[in-house]
Amino acid sequence: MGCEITHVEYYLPEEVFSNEDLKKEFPNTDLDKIEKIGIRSRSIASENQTSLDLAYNAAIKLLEKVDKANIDFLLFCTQTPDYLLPTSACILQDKLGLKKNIGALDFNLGCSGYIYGLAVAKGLIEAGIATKVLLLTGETYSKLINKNDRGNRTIFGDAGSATIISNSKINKLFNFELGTDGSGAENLIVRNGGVKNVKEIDPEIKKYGTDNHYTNNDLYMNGPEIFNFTIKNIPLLVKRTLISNGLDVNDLSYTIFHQANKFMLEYLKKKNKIPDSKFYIDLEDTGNTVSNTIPIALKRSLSKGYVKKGDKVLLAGFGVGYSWGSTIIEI
Amino acid sequence: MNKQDFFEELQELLELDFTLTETTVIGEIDSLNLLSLITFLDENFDIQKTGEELKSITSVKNIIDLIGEDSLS
Repeated sequence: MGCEITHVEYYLPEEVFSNEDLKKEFPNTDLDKIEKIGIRSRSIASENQTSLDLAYNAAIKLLEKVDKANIDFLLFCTQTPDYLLPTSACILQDKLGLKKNIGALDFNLGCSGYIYGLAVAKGLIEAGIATKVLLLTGETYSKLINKNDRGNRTIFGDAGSATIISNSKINKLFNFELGTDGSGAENLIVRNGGVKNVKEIDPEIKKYGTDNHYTNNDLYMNGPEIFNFTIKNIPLLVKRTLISNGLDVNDLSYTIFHQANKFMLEYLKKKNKIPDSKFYIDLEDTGNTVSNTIPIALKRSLSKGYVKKGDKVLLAGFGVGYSWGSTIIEI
Repeated sequence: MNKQDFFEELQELLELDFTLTETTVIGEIDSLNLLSLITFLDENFDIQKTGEELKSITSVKNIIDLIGEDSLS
């Protein structure tokens, strides 16, 4: 027995924040420079729209094609849950009208989250605990970013996604390679708002990079350190994933990495010696949507015909934590 | 890499409109150019420097000190 991805859908909120909007708010912005990161606009959740809502909307699209009575586990990846408790996945089970005799849980991961969701789904199916897992991702980093933080407002967008992982006669979800290094926690963090540090009423305004401002209530990203982590670890991750599956780059039809930004992706492509024809980049109108980038890119690569039935595709996610993971799927 | 190529590549990646020498002061490097510098150091010298080390760079001499004078012919 094995498992496979049978359906993928995503949802982007309606409100769009373009580079022109960015220029209006930050007149010093050099739009030619922003071309380097390959993002022209990003979808932003409205004031009352949460990650749970975005994932819900993606799931509704997916449930037009899947009988929800067969779903027997719900996984929800988010770092912006509606509440500290209860678990958003429990609320989603009810909202989506899924059966009550199913498991449901949230897990808190960022850009590696989709890969971890696939790994957990595979484990549940292979252990006989579930047969059809609904994996949802939803993220609204826009709500964590200081409005005067140009850098992060340039990079991040909001989105939700929904994927079905089902048991199958032929296994199409291959071996995983996962990694963790918590020593990098401080480099991508929201320091206040959890239980350890409550939100400050009048927080100190800090500056980093080029004209970016934030407080400890907001998301902080040390871009150079995150970049260093990525170029050090991800080529090795790709190599290990290929080895553990007994494959090499020539056996792959495509590679879909976490769509962090075009500059980083181009360099990772070069370092991994992956030809242009096998490397998917698609974030121009979404930005970096954290745990949603891989399912969005997967869905789009399928819809656009780049990825076809029978293709082997390497997926790799990496980021906040630090946390990283990779696997190979067969379409 | 010889020094002349090093100066030229550095000038291009930092988007500077003046010729670089060992004593040129380049001032603060913006976020995107810092990423270009990281890839340049990684690709050509297999060097990964911390964000703090890179942020302290204000001159060409600082960069040569990071990679080591011996790395340039």
